[in-house]
Amino acid sequence: MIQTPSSGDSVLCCLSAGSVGGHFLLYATAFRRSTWLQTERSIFAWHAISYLLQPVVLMLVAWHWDLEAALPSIIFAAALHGIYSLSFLELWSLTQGSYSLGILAHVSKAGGHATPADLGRLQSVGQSKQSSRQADLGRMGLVRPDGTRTLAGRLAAIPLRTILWLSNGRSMN
Amino acid sequence: MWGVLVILYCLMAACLHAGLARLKPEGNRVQQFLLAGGASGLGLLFNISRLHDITPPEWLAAIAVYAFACELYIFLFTFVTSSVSVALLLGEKEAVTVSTNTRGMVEQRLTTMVAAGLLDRKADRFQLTARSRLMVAVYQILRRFFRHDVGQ
Repeated sequence: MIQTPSSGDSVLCCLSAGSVGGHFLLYATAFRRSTWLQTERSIFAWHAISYLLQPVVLMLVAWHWDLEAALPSIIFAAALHGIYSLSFLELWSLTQGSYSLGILAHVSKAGGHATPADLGRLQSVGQSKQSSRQADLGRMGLVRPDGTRTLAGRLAAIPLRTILWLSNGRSMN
Repeated sequence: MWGVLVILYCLMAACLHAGLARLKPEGNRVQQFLLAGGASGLGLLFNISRLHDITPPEWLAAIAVYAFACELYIFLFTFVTSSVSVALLLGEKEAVTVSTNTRGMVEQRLTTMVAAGLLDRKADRFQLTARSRLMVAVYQILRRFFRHDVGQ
């Protein structure tokens, strides 16, 4: 049997939904045009800071009622923000650097059809993508300058292989 | 109690997905997960509605956490199969090397996209399908919204 909500619960649930909506509106109306939100790192930080701040603010608000009773509302808020941020960041990075969407846009630009020779020009995109990703892995400490995997790189590969095995998928190798 | 149920139903969704992916390996993994996750989600809804004295925030939290976990899992398994970084990290060679066979990389993507119904291959030409035309239109709107096209 579901109980009726208390006024504190309602306030917290409205606050959490409002904070997600507010975060998006702030981006769409003000920060979208700023140059500092154009990089992967800064857009991730924009979401991560908000995601970490939200529970703290909600806990401060809930302090006036009953913090323990407010815990489910705070968990709801965190999950809602997670769904929003993950969707936003996925769309952001897909439209920024997806190889497949890049190929489709390339075919579209060529009038909706292209020959394998036209698409062969995308090989340079593939190579530059691989080089930049290898440099990123180096910066993250996952590979050494000589290309061998560090201990962190080997450890990071374990959950990735597990997910690959679980979903019966194949990486792009 | 609702937290335990959410964890159990998330695990059930992942196991069902693993089973479907093995029963029909050529199938679309996202569609298979939507089926597995949807069925498990219905089970979760049924079970938490039968819990005594569950409060509305607990009910909402259970649904939202389950939905977030499902979205995260979809993101993870699509990421490991399509990410260039993951491919480099999981490569079978001892050292991570930039492949000189980028032609193979393009061809592999094109084959995958034809199989997924995003491109039609007709007489040695690749054509956009109705679905991919819509995707390109949405892609271009979103690129403008995120201002990725600035300076290009």
